[in-house]
Parts: sequence; C-alpha cells; structure tokens
Amino acid sequence: MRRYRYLPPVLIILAILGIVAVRSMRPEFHHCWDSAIMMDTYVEVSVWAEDADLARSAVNAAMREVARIDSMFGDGLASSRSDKALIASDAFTFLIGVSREVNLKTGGMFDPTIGAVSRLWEFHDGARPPSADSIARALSCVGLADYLDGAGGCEERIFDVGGIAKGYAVDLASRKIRAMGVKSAIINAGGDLMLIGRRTDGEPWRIAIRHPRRAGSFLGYIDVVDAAVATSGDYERYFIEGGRRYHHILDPHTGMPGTASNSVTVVAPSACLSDALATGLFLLGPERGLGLVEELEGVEAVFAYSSGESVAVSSGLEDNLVRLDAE
Amino acid sequence: MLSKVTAADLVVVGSLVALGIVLLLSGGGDGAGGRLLTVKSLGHEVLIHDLSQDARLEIEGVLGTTVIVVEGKQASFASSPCPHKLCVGKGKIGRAGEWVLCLPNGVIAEISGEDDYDGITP
Repeated sequence: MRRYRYLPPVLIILAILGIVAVRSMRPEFHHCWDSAIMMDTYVEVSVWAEDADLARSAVNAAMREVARIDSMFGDGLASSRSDKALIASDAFTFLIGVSREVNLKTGGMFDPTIGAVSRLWEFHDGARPPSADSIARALSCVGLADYLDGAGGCEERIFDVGGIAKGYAVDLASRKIRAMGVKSAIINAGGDLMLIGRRTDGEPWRIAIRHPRRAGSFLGYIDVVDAAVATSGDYERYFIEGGRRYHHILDPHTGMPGTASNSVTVVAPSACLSDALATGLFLLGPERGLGLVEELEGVEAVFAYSSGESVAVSSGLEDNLVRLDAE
Repeated sequence: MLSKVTAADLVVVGSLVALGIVLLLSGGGDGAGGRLLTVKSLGHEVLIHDLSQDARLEIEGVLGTTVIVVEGKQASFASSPCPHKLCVGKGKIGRAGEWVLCLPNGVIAEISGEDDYDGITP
C-alpha cells in the first residue's frame, strides 16, 4: 500500500544506525609502548588495555624484566673459564636445559657451545672466512653433549646464548604482562616476537615474513594468536666472497654456515624455544626439519630455500600462510 | 508540490540526514596514515621525520655521526662510524615496525604509522 512505500528504506536506515551505535559502544583501548637498546638489539614492548594505568605499568614491568636479563647476559657470550658465576646461575642452567632439548631433537644442530667458532667469524663488507685450521681448533671445544657429560680435553668452552637469552627475556617479560591481566600485547626483542592474546578488534596478530632474497619484499604473512615467532635467515648478517654467501648461522659440526635453508620462521609456545628451534631447523633444512616440526606439539614452521624461490610449510600453517611473492 | 510532503517523507529525509551525521562523526577509514621515521640516539629521541619527505639526516652518537638518507619513502643508513657497518648493510626500510640499529654508535631509526602488519620478521 502507498503509505508503506517508505518502510523498506526507513528500516534499512534504522538498521545501519543501529549497527553504528553498537560499534561505537566497543571498549576503548589505551596503547602504551616503550623501546630501548638492550640484549645487544632493539627491544620494544607494546601493550593495549582498557585501563591506561595498567597499560603503562605493564610496559614498565616488561621493560624492567628485559633489562634484568640484559644485565645478566650482556652480549650473550660466556666463558667457562671467566664467567663461572653466570654459568652456575639458575637462568643459565635453564637455558642449557632448553638447549639440550633442542640439541637432541635437531641432531646437534643447535649447540650453545659454538661460541669458540662464532667469535672467529665477522660479517661485514670485506670480511673473509676464518682459516680451516682455526675452525678445526675451535671445533674441538664445541659439543653440548661433551660439556654435559663432563668430558675433558677443552680448557675453555665459549657459550653463545645471545639468541636464546633474548627469547628467555621475552618469555619472562610476557609472563609479567599476562600476570597483570593484559590480554593484548607485543614484545619484540630484535625480531624474537611474543604475541600475547589478539588484537583489540579480536583479530589475530598478522606477522609478515621477509623474503630472504628480495629486499623490501615479503614472502607472505601468517596470523598468530598467543604464541612466539622467531626467524633465522641467511640475509641478516653475511658477506659474499667468490660468489658464495657466508652468513652467521653456523653448523656446529663443521663450523661453516649452513646451506640447507635461506630462512626459517618458527611459531612456538615460548620465545626461548622458537629462537633455538629457528637456528636448529635452519641447519636441518626443509626435509628433515619439517619431519621434526610435525612431531613437536604447538610448533609450526615456514622454510624458504633455493634462493627463496621454494617454500615448505608445516601442516598447521598450510591454511594460514598467505603468499605475497607470486609474480 | 510542497503540500504533498507527508510525515513519512520527513521521516525518511530526517533519517538520511541523521545517518550522514553519524557516519561523519564515527570516522571512516584509517585516515592519511602517513609513516614517520623516529630516530633515537643514546636512548633519547632526537627527531621525528615525515617519511614522505626526502632528506639527509645527521645524527650524533657515541662514536660520531650516523647519516640517514630518506628517499622515495624509504630510509637507510648511508654511513656510520661503527667498525663493521652492519647498519649500512641492512639496506632500506619503509614499512611500519621496521628499524635499523647502529649498536656501537647507539643510534636507531624506526618507522611508525599505519600498516597492514602487526609485526615483521627480521
């Protein structure tokens, strides 16, 4: 009937007004953040909370926790000869425990006793590989299993726990934040990420994965909720000599840079674990690495290899990873 | 003609006006979302620069002057007094969340602003 001709558009308008009204009733979140150079890298903490004081307090608590770990571990190198107090500490013992687990699972590819070899290498323009003799001498003091078994034959072991210590700091900081009731936060220590909860709009955190060979481009992105993400890549620190790339991810068995992967991004329940696994899986390569990942609960990985032109993904990320590098 | 305007017509027009006002006030989209380059030296913020403006920025640190070049909405460390120039080798950054750090000189440059991602792997 004629008098009802406006009813449909009026109903539509009222519906739209209703939707806008409901949206405007969403809680407002305060975003607080802080950053500093710590753990020999750039550390950022971002917290979102409805209570501004809570957000600020959480950020401060997280930064203090990272600073505490930074004061213990510094550059992450520890000598069995001169850093006995650090090596005897609960924190270091914990890191060795995580290291042992990853060392066993990766067939020795992650080994924190590699410090003696690590310090032979420099990665900058004009750098050169250390001599085979110096690498061989340094390798005689590499071997977590030997260290744990108390095997002799090595006057000084050098531990390189810089990476895993970063993850440890991130884990402790995230624990503080969660205990304070924060449901949405990101902690980033030089690329070791902890994504707490979800974004304030309820969506997962969206993490972009760098393409290992195309500067400024992304291989893809993944959506993450309440998990840690770490990446090991041969593009982070390297030099090229004789057409060969020499990078900082060293195989503990050979003392040379690994060649099985270009990058590995690991999602795991803790930053400590994701960091250690990223190194170990990088050296294992996609075939052996994916086999291991499928056995580990709560762990997923994205491997890039063959100059970044090939990608292998664990089953839990197959429907998650969105590729951005298709030509 | 005007005498034919009915109450229903007024309701419709009034609703459209109200809808327009509400949509205007609720704010649509992300706005301009320009990216900013924030540079800190020795922990202190020394400058914030609009990434859309090309520039050559000189920042004093512990060891000396770090030069940051902004060009084509990207920033890079052109030179720095550190021994190994790892910061220079990092290349260009242009996405929110990306950063370059010269650890020996204590200078860091980070990009903030709207972007499609909450984090970027290093």
